[in-house]
Formats: sequence, structure tokens, C-alpha cells
Amino acid sequence: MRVLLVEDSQRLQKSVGKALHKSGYAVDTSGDGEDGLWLAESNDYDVIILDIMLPKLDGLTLLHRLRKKGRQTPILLLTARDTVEDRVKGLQMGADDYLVKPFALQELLARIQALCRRHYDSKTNQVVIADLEIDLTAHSAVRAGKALDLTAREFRLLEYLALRRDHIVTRDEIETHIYNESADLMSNAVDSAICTLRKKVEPLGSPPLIHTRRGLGYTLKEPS
Amino acid sequence: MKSIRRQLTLTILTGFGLLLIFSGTAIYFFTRVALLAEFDAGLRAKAFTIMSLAEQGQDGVQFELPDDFFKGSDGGATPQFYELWRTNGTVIARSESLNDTELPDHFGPAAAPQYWNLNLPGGRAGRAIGLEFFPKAEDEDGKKFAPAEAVVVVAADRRSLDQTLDTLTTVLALTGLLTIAITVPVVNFSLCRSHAPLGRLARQAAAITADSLQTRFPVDSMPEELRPITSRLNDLLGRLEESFERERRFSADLAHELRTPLAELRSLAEVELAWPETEDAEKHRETLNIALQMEAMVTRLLEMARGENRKIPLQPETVLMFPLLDEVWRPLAGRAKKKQLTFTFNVPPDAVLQTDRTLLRSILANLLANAVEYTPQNGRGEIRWEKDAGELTVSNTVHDLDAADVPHLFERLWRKDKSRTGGEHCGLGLALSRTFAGLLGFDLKAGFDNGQILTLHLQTLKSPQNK
Repeated sequence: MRVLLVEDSQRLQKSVGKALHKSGYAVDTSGDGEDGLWLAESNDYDVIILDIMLPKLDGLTLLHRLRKKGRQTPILLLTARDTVEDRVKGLQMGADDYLVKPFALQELLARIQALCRRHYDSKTNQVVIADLEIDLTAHSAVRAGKALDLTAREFRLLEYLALRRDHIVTRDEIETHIYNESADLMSNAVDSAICTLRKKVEPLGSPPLIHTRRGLGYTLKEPS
Repeated sequence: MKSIRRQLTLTILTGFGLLLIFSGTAIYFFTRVALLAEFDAGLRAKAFTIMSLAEQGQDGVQFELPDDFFKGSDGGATPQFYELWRTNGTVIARSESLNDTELPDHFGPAAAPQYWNLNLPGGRAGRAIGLEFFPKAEDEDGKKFAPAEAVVVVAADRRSLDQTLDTLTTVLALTGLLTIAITVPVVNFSLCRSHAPLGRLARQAAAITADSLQTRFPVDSMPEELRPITSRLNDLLGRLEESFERERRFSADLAHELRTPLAELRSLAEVELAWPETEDAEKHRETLNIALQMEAMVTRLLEMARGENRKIPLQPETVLMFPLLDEVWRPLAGRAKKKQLTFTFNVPPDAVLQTDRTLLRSILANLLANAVEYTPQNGRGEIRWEKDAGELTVSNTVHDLDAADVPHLFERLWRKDKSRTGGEHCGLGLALSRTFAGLLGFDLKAGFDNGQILTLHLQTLKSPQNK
């Protein structure tokens, strides 16, 4: 999952960025509204975390311009403005969620996760595909009753495939949603990541769940 | 409760009632005088007729009156009375209607006869005229006789006159009452209508809340008398709206200034707890910086609160301005040099103020620090002491400020940068300086020249010792 954090406080950028990164998100950051708008328009993010009081272009104008251009990326407003009027205004302008500073990091992460789920029309935190059970809240996966040992990025890749189960996910989409803009990707990085994930999700003797569609991408679905 | 409408109704009705009574009385009085004059003229005519008929003869005064002489237009239904005497009291002639009674012998000269009211035989009210005269003393043959004075009294029933006056009284009273009865609702209705704009104004005013202070009363549709009040109310609403807006801005800015560093601190701690790393001095430095930033803001807010509540003790002393400015400038000189700023000090060495040194130092430190901070690279500034005006001015070139910003400069937590990025300046310095200046009896103002020069004026002449 790829997240854009638009926040003018360098300290918050650093700490929230780190928390998101450690939670397996690909994170891009921006310190002002103009740059944030450019990034939001140029990339396909799963969630945008947006401060309201920003230099150059305020968050609400950024939000308005994005929505006007038809971008439906879920947006969470993260701001010091705490009045009911501010919340109502933000939500009415097209924000999907609103969190007031100071905030609990766990709550922010949970809200981002919920926005990601909603983005992919998933209502529950549990995804079950054959004997593979993925707990999106606990960040854990179990295959045939046995817990899988996944890194944060591996889990995000599995989660992304699971949320788009039965659909073909292209390499570009995986690149966009799993790796941040600054990542220096090798040409076979996605294939390599899928290969590693396969080894963990499909131990010897288990029916394959991650299927390769040559020239198209990958799909996570029950064995036919 | 006092009611203008009730008071006006009462005043108008009382005034109108008094006017009616006065006019009614006047009408009655003048009508009565006119009717009496007419009645008296009739009596006088009859008396003069009797006078012309009386003749002095050989055997005294001869008098002969035709039987139908007094019958008049009513055919004699109204009794008429007369009596003619010699001045010695001898009756010459009298009307039959007198029967056995006598008319009083009041009289005056023929040119100014006497009139009076009396009771006629039969007890009815009447009016009489009495006059003395000399009957004609020459007969038809031209023979003259010695003149002998005579008195004639003529009386008439005045019942019809009294009835006319009674009718007039009744008509006037009824007309007055009817007029009052009609006037009450008319006045009430008229006052209700004319006070309707006041009612509307009151309803509109009652509907205004803290959220609708942008409302303004319509001035053009108001009556002329209410326009000044409506305009003043609109002015008041304008000031209230501005004040509420300032308070809202202050609350929002304060929330931002406090919430952002708190969020930074909290997320820093939570991230470190969730994903602990090896001890990193940079993290501790960040934590310290956040704490210092919050401490500086809280300290300034507390100082301002103390200043506004006048809880800062003052210790006036003689303060030499130049050494104090030099002391304040020294820590800023490095930053000014780095930005290649040119600052000139036009302060005479003997410039002196009688004031609290600590507070004055705090004001000067803020003004000079702001000047260095906000003067653009290669900019210039001047610190000048105007002895005659008792004013210290701090001027510097600015590049991102305009005239519209000047009124906001002294607002608490105001920052030109609406995003409020960065925590080094929270927008309390000038507000605090003005509070301190007020405590010292000074005034701190800002001015802006077209040439992009901001000047802060510390006016000290309010303090009598500093003249």
C-alpha cells in the first residue's frame, strides 16, 4: 500500500513516515501544498494523509482540486483544527476521514488501514482464500493452520493481492502500491518479491494460490 | 415597565382632551355672549319703543301702548313685562302680565342701560333692562312742558335662551366625548404603525447570535429617526464581529501552536516505543527542541496574562538608551551580519528614560530581533531616537508584508504565514511588547511606507517623567 503524507512539520513527517514505513507502507512525503498536489496527481496512492494548514497551498484547496479532477484517492485530514465546523467542512469537501492532532499513532494506522480496505471494497479484516487466512488488523497470515513468517513488505504485498483477489494485478500496480517513489527498484524487484512470497505462502505440497498470468501480472485466488 | 407607546398615547390624549375642553369652553362662552347681546338688543329695542311712546303732557307723562305691541313672532305665547315710573316712584304704566308683582327699579342712563337676570312672576327666569330717560316734552301743537325724568324697566322670559345654551353645552360635551372615543383607537393604531420598525428592529436584534454577527440592519428602509440608531447598531455589530473573529482566530492559532508540538512529541515517543532503535542523540535533541518551543510559548502567554492583569511589579529607574540598545543588539549582530543587513543607530548617548529597565529591555529585544529576522537579505534598518517627540522608532525593509497586515501585527499569535509552519516564532512577541509598553505608560504603534519599510514607534511621552 502506498501512502502520501503531506505535512509541514518536519518532525511529524519523520516520525509518522517512519511508523508507516515500519508498518509496511510505501511512503512519500511532502512539506507544502503545491508539491503535495503535484505528487497526488502524479501517482496512484492508496491513502493521502493531509494537513490543512500548509505553506503555498492549504490542505482544503488541495483536497478540492484533487476531487475536482476526479481523483477518488481516500484522504485523511490530519490537523490541529478541532472544531466541529472544521471537521464538517473538511468532510464535506471530500475528505474520507479526519483526525485531530495530537493523535495516537495506533489510531492513525488503524484509520489508514480502514481507508485502504474501503478503497478496495473490503468490509472485514479477515481475508480467507482456500486454507489461507489473512488478518489485516493483526498483520498476520496462516496457511493450513500454520503461521507464516512474513516481513512487513511481504505482508503488504500479500495484503494488496488479497484485497484484489481474483483480479489480475500488474507489475506496475505492485510497484506503485508497494514501493515508495524514492525506492531504487531493480527491473525484477516485483518478480523477486513475488517469488519470495510464494515460497512462504505455498510451502511444498500446498496447492498454489498466487498465479502468474504471463504478460499481464499476478492474481491471488483459490486453486482451480 | 416604561412603555414609549403608552406614554405617548397618554400624553397625546391628555393634550387633545385639554384642547377639546378649552375649545368647547371658548365656543360656549362666545356663543353665550353673542346670544345674550342679541337678547339684550331685543330688550333695548323694546325699552326704546316705550321711551318713544312716552310723552310729557299737561297732566304728567302720557303713555299708551297698543295691546299687541309685545306679541312678537310667537303670537304672545312668551310673556313680556314692562313697568314705567316717574323718578319719584309713581307708576305711569305697567304690563298686565305683572299682575300684582313689581319689577325691580334698577336702571342706568339711556346711553348705558342696566341689564340683569331676575325671577319673573310665576318663578320663571328672565332678563331685564332698566334705564332712565326724559319723555318728549312738546305736544303736537308745539307747546313745551317742563321735562320730568322717568324710568322704564322691560323684562322678558329667557327660557329659550337658556335652552339654547343648554343644548349647546350638551352638543359640545357629546362631541368632545365622541372625538376622544374616536381619537383613542386612531392614536393607538397610528403609534402602533409608527413603532412597527422599532419592533422589527428588536426582533432582528433578538435573532442575532454569535454565529450570525455578519447580519446588518437595513438602514434605508428605516424611518429617519431610527437611522442613526440603526447605523450605530451596525457599527457595533461590525466591531463585535471583528472581535469575535479575532478571538476565533486566536483560539484556532493557539490550538495549532499547542497541538502541533504535542503531536510531534507524542508520535516521536510512540514510534520509538513501537520500533525501538539504538540510543540516538538526535531524538533527544528533537524532544528537547519541542519542549523548549512549547516552554517559550507558554512563558510568553503567561507573561502576557500577567501583563494584562498588571501583575508585573515595576521598578522605575533612569535608563540610558544607547547602552541598553547596544546590549540588546550584541547577540543579534552575528545574524544581521550573516544576512548582510545594514542597521544604523541614530540614538544620542545622552538619551534617557525613566522607566522599568527589565520591561523596556524585553520590548527592545523583541523589536530588534523581529527587525533582524524579517529584514530580507541585504536589507537595511534604522533605530532612531526622536528626543522632542520622545519616540524610539525601529524601521526595516520587509518583502512579504503589506499595508493590510499592519492592523494585525499586534494580535496575539498572528503570523503572516497562515500555515504556521515552523515553531521558532509563534506570533506573540509584538502583542507582548505592546502589553509591556502599556504597563510602562508607553504606546507601541506600527506604520508602513510604500517603500516596503515597516516602522515600529515606541511613544514614551505618555510618561510625564520622560518629557
